[in-house]
Amino acid sequence: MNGTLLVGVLLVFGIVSIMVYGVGLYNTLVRLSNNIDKAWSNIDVILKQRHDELPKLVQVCNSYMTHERETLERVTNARSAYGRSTSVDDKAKAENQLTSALGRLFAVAEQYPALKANQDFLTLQQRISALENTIADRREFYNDSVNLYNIRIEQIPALWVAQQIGYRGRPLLAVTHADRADVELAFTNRAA
Amino acid sequence: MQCPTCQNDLVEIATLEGPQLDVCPEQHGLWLDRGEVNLFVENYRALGETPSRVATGAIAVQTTTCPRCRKTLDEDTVLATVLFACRACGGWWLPKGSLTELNATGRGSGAQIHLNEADFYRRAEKRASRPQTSEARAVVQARREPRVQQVWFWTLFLLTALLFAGLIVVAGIRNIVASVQWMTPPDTTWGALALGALTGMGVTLYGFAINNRKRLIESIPTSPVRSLAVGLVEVSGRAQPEGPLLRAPFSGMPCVLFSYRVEERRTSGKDTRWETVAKGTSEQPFYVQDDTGRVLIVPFEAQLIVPDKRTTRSNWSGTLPADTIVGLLKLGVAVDGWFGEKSIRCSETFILPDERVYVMGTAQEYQAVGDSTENSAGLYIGSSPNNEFIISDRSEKELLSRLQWQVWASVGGGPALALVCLLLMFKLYRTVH
Repeated sequence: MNGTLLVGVLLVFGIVSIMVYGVGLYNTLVRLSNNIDKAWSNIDVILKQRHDELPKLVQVCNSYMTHERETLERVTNARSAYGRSTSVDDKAKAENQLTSALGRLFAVAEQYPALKANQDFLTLQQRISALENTIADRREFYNDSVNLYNIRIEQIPALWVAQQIGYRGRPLLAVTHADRADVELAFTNRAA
Repeated sequence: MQCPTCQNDLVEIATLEGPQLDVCPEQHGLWLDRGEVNLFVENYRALGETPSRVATGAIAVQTTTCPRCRKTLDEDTVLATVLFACRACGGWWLPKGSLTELNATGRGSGAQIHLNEADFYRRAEKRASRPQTSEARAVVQARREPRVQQVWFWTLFLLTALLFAGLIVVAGIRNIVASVQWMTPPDTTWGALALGALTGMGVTLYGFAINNRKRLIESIPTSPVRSLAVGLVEVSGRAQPEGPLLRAPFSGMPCVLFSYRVEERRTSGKDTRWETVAKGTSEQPFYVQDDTGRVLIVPFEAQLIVPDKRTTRSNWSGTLPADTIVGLLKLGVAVDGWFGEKSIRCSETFILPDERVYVMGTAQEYQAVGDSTENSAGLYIGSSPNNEFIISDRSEKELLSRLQWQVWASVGGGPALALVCLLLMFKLYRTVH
């Protein structure tokens, strides 16, 4: 064996190792990025299901909560705001508003015994609550996915690959200060 | 779906009232699927009470084909509004203005549902005339181009470097072939060193493969069972049996999953080796339960990472335990050979009920097991040709730690072995001109 062959073999081995490692690293970053998109799509699917239930809920509540027009309109307006949103950030903000409006609606509905006894209302309330639990789980999953991605693209050596292919950090889904505030209820005159 | 009047594609429009409406961009009408009209008419119960099938004046349609199921549409009158109904799928085709009429006629006593049918047509027309590549798609396309360019650049760079390195190797081989003498001619030691170098390189590449698997496990967050989505998922919880508990083949331990291996010692000349004569894994599904629910796991084609062998039976003393012999006979493995009892080694691993398990697999829908999955989407976790399927009694953290050690051993030990062998070959088997 001579020095030329030794150098050549070491070079080939080194370059092949770099290529195999680099391909694996690139594929990992692509997978992490696509996982975030998929996680958001999975939230969107459940949001769509919830949105499809809302008009039925508003219609049922309409008949009983004749003096709570503002509460019902908040739900409808928040829903339409989501429909107009295009970016993930805007959708998340609109969704937070909708969740807050629904929470208020269900809290106000507690004051209407006839509505609470309505089977349609009870079914819709249970269905929407189950969907909200799933939404909450998937929001956490989305944030976990974003967190994994953000950590990965800032670690060495993935940092260099991420910079080369233009991968930047992504924002987490956050609840705004207004959405964290307690629901304030103003009860108007109602029929017993 | 196509407009029955002009055959143009219907455009989907989101509405405040609920469903996505399918609207003709030429303003001939809109399509409502079964039940959707209830969300636009306040007194929707009145819709079902009016006599129908009164044929009035014709509203011209070139075909009477249902946009949804392609069956024939029948002209109908509901609350004095003329429309076209499909008896097969229950949908309605409403000519322009009919929805507004229904909404006005079916007014109840509560808050009114305000429609703006003109706005539906305006939006449909606008969307139909939108260019193919939207601004958002153009942005994504622009973002993707630099990435593709960079990937191509580095691929070509490394391939070029590999080509040069290959030329150096060829030059080295040519020098050797042209050389007059070896300081020490190649012998079995040279062969062993060459094999060691190749093994070192192979171990390094294997280490990269383990690293990829480790990255895959790291990159998937753990899902609560309640909100599983279709696709590759990761769950963690306690194993629960789906039916009666299984019995491990040799120890008889009640379990939800087991795996076994039977090896026989065989002698060939001076060589003695252990050869696997039987192995298998149970295929009975089981549940994984966490705080939010439980999901069915179908372990077919799963890779079990249950590292601690719970029971090992061997007959170094010449005698197998009775329960092991029973287990072997049930498996159809003969324990006696020509010259008495064979040398057999049995090992088994199992997952006990209520033991913590980690599963990474593909969540899928299957009607037959839908009732027993007990999660909101009706899914089970099983194997898929494109995804990993791992069942382990270790936590994700422990699993990753084990894989990390394997990666370091391979990626550290492999190149070291290859380098040492190559250097020894260089030092001991030089050529001289």
